Amino acid sequence: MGYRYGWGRGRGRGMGWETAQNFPQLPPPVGVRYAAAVDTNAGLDSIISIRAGRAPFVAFIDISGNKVVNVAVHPNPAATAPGGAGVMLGQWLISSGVRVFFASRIGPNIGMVLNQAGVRVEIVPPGTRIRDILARLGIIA
Amino acid sequence: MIIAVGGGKGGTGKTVIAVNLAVYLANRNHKVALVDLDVDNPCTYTLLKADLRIVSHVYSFKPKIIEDKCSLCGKCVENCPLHALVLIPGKKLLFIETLCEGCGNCIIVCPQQAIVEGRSLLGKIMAGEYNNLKLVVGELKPGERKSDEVIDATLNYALKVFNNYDYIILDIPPGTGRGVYQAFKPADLIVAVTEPTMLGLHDLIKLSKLIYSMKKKWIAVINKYGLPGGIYSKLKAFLEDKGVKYLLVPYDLNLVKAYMNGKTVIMEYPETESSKAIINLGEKIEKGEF
Amino acid sequence: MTLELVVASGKGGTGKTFISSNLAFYLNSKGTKAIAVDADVEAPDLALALGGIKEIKWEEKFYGKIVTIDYSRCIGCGSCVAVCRFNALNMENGKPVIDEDLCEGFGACALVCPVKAISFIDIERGYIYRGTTPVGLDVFTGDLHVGEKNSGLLVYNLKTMAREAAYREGFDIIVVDSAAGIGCPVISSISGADLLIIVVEPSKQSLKGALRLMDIADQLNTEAYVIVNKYDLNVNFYETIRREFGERIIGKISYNDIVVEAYARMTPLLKLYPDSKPTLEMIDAFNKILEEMRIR
Repeated sequence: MGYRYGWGRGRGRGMGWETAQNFPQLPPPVGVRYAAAVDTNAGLDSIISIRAGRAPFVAFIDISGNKVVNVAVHPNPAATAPGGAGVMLGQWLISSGVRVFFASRIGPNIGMVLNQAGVRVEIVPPGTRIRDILARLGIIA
Repeated sequence: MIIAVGGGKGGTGKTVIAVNLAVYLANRNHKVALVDLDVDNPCTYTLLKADLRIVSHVYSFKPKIIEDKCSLCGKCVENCPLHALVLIPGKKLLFIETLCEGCGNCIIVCPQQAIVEGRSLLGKIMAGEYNNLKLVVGELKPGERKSDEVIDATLNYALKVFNNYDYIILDIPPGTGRGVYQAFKPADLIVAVTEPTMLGLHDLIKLSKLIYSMKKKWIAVINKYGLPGGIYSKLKAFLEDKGVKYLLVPYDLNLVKAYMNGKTVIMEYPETESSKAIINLGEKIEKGEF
Repeated sequence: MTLELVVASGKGGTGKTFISSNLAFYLNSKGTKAIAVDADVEAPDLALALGGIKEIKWEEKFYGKIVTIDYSRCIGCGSCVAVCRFNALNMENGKPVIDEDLCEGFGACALVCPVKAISFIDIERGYIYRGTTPVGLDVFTGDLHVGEKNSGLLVYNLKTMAREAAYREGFDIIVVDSAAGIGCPVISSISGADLLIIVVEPSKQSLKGALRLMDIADQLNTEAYVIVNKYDLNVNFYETIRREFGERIIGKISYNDIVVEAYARMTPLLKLYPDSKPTLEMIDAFNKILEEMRIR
């Protein structure tokens, strides 16, 4: 049962609304994929944003055997969504194979969606660095 | 004649004026229906000790996913403008009811026709009587968000059933948004009930913007007139500047007493100042002065 | 993290703005940095209760979408009219006409149009702004244009802006003045809050509204307390309210003309008449809130 990345080819009919076509497709995870809603694009030193659905960036970290295999920080297309940003982001995380999501808070909608998809949410203080969270949780050495 | 009794600010006395006006007109042997559109918290019937019976339920459209037919293609997710659908790839489709506004795009685009019309309960419409006054009350189910749809349904029901009545009095909810706009639409006359306070005036000014954009005829009722500490000259100046006729309903402890005891002031204290003022309003309406 | 406190009531006119403006003012005066949020977006008054806006620090428009038809492509088939669930399209003289007051811009029409004659445009539906007031409190206000819907979304955006400013600038608490009722904007106001204060006045109508609101607070898992305003207008009914809410009541405030006067003079009652009975009663209730906050 593989993951499908992105969906629908082509742009549809140019819906005026932000839709899934705007999300970057990520390569499949190597090991376990973590994600974090961050304010900065600084790899593992990116800091957790006070926002979740509308965080300016989302960091994806693939970890295999206690080692960071890959870090990719993308601008978050849901950041400018007029509404439903949390769910949009949730959909991107699910389709990207994320297993654990770090954020400083999440709304009930994205919470329910991630829960149903089996994505674990870890609430962490805003301003913390990804590197420190991973170390504290014993995920990396 | 359809008369909408609104105000912008909550607590100015819309319901008291609407109910008493309706009772006055009904007592004068006109055919009158009173429609409670304050669906978040309807109170008209508390002043009339009317027994209510449910005449209709109000449903909201929502999509229903037939899981057996769903191929998990995600086309519906792509076309949902509010992101109320989420695909767990290979597994299932999630529907987030609280985000759905019922546009129906998902039904249109599903290649498997796996999404059909479903519905959820939003509220109810109730009816009752007080002597010869007919009462229609709309009520939103607590926890539901779509007050506007319950307002629409209640209004449509009342206009259909009582369309040959002499007077239909609409008790409008506070605010200036879509629900109030929809409720104002069929009105021949808007009675804006305000109070002589800064907040009352401020909200009345905003409400007047809505009224003018809809090109409706309106008059103002300054309720609680004489409230100590209130503002008067600014309020009158605003109304006179706009050329809006206004009536004064004096601040009257008897009115408060009647309200707290679930009675109409014109029946309970017919000689008190506020009753006389409301009766005066009723007479002017009967004479077609507005 | 900044604590978020919402003041709501169910029924209108019970004193939400009165309580929230004085509460924000009191917290600030006690050194608990507070920011005020006016979530009554259809009829915002909070800034007025605090003296009016002195200076607008920041403003942002709130947009929605509607559709537009390219009549040079339109063949008048009427498919769009048939599919619109908002009654925003009507055939007139063989061509569809958009009722812009009803169009939500979701685009079912665009999906079914065989000649791709329908596209989207942004329209302004309201705005959010941050202003300073003469009493030293900043107020975030949401203002929805008349006749518009989606107040819930505007409230959500408003609170998001306020939360971020509070985080960035080190505010301890956000006080949110909610709209009347229990519908979309109120649910949006309560959602995500740490504490709900329900303002009741001693009438059957107000109690009914408060109970409906309590129901929603339970559904949203939000802790709720009650303040009874103008309690002396009906002392018997006040007892009924006490029996209904018991421990949840953290204060009662007596009715007084000076409340109206304070509004007329656009000053919080706590500032204008610091020794008056309603002021002291409010402070009593507010201190209980402060205690509650310390526990969290």
